Amino acid sequence: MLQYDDQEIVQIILAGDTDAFNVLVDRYQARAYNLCLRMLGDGDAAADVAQDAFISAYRHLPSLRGEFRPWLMRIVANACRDALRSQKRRPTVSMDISRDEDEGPDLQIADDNDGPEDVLLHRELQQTIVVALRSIPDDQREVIVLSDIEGRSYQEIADITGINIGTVKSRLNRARLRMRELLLAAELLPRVRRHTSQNE
Amino acid sequence: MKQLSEHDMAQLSALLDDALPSAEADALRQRLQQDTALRDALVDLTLTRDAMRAMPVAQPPRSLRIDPARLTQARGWRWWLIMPPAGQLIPTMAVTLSLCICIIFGQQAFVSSNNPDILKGIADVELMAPNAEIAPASSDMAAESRIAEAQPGTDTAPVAVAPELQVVAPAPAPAHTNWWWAATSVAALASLSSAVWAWRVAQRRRIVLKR
Repeated sequence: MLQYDDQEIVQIILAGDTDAFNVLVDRYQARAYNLCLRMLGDGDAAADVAQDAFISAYRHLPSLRGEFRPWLMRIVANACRDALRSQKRRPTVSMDISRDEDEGPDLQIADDNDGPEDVLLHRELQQTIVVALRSIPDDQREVIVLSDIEGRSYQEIADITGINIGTVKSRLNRARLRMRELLLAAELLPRVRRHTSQNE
Repeated sequence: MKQLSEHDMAQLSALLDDALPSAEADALRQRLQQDTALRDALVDLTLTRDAMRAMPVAQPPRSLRIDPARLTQARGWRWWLIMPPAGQLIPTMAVTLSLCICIIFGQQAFVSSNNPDILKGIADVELMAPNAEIAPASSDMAAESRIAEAQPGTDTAPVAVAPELQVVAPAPAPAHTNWWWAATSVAALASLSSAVWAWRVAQRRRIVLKR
């Protein structure tokens, strides 16, 4: 089953082999979960929302026109938006002790060759990014996550979010400016700049 | 640090994504060679984007696989009632219908209560009723007898003399009021049912959708 592409698997599912849907789940669960995690900032909620999105995709599979992946990501993005709206209507404060696992696994972008200072800097930078992402408006966060974390093109972002490319550009610009301001305020960018120029 | 305009920042952001038209990109590159603040801003944007791109891919805390057979089984024969569009339309239609009933019957009741002809009609009905409690005051009785004596052959029925004085018992609730209460009760019941329905749908979906 793994050798089939998405469209072939969709045809197999529609022909009656419903269990084949889990091949698609395995294929895209990390992407879906990461988008939800960056949008919601909570690991458990992100898993719930991503799974709900898969169930919704399964139910609406007969209405799929075009490619599966962008269609699925659109469903995931909509599910995240619904979850954020729901969170705003019913804000809750967790009574659990705050755990770092909600932020995802340990942030490791430094090479094995990097020294402790590099590892520390990268970790600090990425933790600041996670916090900064939470502080920007939902619509801007969605665009910057899709663009700068997921690496999607403007057109793909427009397809997923249902907005035009001009709006994608302006939201992305505002989001990047905000992120830059937050990183400058945390005095991280000058350190990264120095660090980068030293390495060069 | 020199403050850059929003337009400059938008152009830098587009340049970063190779989304700037070539003419504008060339012009901006020329400016970048001369303008240190612009260059620093581009470096910051690049570093920010690269740091975000380097964010690790988090693995979900559990498998997100679903059980299609269970989803189908859990549907039951009433699945179409809870799934869209029926699951969303039915409560909406119930509430809309309730509001319509309230507005239509409430309006009728309002119009009726402001129409004196209706009240006159009610009084007439009361007077024609055989068992109606009609008890004219003693002073009125005397007046009636005097009138009867002065005008022999005239019908002395109390109805003909002063109908506005005849009705002393409280009038029973008019028919339109009863209709209004019935309609309001139905509307309230429909609204309550739709709220319970929506809640049960939400609960059921939550149970069904989770593995």
